[in-house]
Amino acid sequence: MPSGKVGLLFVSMTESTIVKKCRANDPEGFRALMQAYGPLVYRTCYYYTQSREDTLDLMQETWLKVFRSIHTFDVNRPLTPWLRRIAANTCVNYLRQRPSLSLSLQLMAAETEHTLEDMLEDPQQVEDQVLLAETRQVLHHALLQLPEKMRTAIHLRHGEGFSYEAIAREMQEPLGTVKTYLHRGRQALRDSLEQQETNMGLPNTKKEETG
Amino acid sequence: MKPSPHQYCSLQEPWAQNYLDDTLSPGERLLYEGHLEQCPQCRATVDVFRQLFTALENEAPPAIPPALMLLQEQWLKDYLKDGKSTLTAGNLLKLQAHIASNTTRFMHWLPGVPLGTKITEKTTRFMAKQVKQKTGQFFRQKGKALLAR
Repeated sequence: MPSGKVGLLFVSMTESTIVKKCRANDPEGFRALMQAYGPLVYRTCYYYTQSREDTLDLMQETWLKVFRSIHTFDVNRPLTPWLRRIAANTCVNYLRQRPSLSLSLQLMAAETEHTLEDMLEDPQQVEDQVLLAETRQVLHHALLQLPEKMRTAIHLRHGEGFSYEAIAREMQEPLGTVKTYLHRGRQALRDSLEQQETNMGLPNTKKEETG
Repeated sequence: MKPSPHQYCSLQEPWAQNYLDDTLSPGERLLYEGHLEQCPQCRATVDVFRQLFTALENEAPPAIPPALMLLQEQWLKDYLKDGKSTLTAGNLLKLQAHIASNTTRFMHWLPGVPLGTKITEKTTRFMAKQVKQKTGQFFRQKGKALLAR
C-alpha cells in the first residue's frame, strides 16, 4: 500500500526536522507539517467556531499565518501549543467581529425550527435540546471574552479532555496556576450564563402559542 | 429560590468544580457528598456547573473530513503560487479599472441611465489615470532599487 508508506514517511520526520524544512521554505516541510498537525488545527478551530464551514476557512488562514511566521517560532519550545495558539487566536479574532450574539441566537432558532411532528413526538426532549444548544451558544460567546490563558485552559480541559497535569505541561505553567485559570474561567462563564438567563427570561413568550 | 448559592453556606467554590472534575481526594469526596445531601445551595451550584461542563464539551468529537488532506494540499499550492504577493497596489488598481470599464459598458447597454453612465465614465477615467501614475511610480522605485544594488 503506497499511501501507507507516504504516511509513514511523514510520521517518521521529527518535529525539529519539519520546522527546519519549513524555515527553509521547503514545500515538503509545509506538507509534512499539515499532514501531522492538520487534525489538531481542525479540532481547535472547530471548538471555537462550532461550524464546519468556518473551521475550514479559518484553518486556511491559520496555515498561512503559520507558514509566514514559522521563522519566529522558538525551536526549543514544543510546537503544538504554538500551533494551537495561532489557530485559537485566528478564530477568536474572527468571531469577535461577527454580528452580536442575540442575532446569531435568532438565526440559530430559525435554523433549528422543528416540524410539528417532532414537537408532538417528545416536546420535552426537543425543548431540552434547544436549551442545551442555546447554552452552548452563550458559553462559546462568553469564552471569546475570556483572557487568552483561561480560554486555552478551558479548551484543553473540556474540548480536548486533557488532565490538569497535561494542561500544565502544554501551557508550561505550574499546576496551581492552571487550576486557578480553570476555576476563574468557569466562574466567569457561569456568571455570563446567569446574566443571559435573566436577560432572556422576560421576552420569552413563544410557549403560549402551542394550541 | 434566587439567592446566591453561597449566601448561607460556608463552602466556597471551587468545591463543586473539583467535585465534577474528580480532583477531590477520596476523603474530601466523601465529606462533600455528605454535605451535598444537606445543603440545597451547594446542590444547586453543582447542577449549574454540571450543565456548564456538558455544554463546554463538544456535541460529538468533530469528524475530520476525509478530504482535509486534499484541501490542505490545495491551500499549500495557493500559498506557494502567490506567496510572492502578486496583489500589489498597481494590480489592485488595474483590477478596479477593469471592473469600472465593464460597468460602464453595461450601463451603456441599459436603456435610459444617463446619470449613471456619466458617473461610471468619470470613475473609469480616474482609475486609468491612477493606474498610469501608480505603475509608473512602482517601476521608477524598482529601477532605483536595482540601480542602488
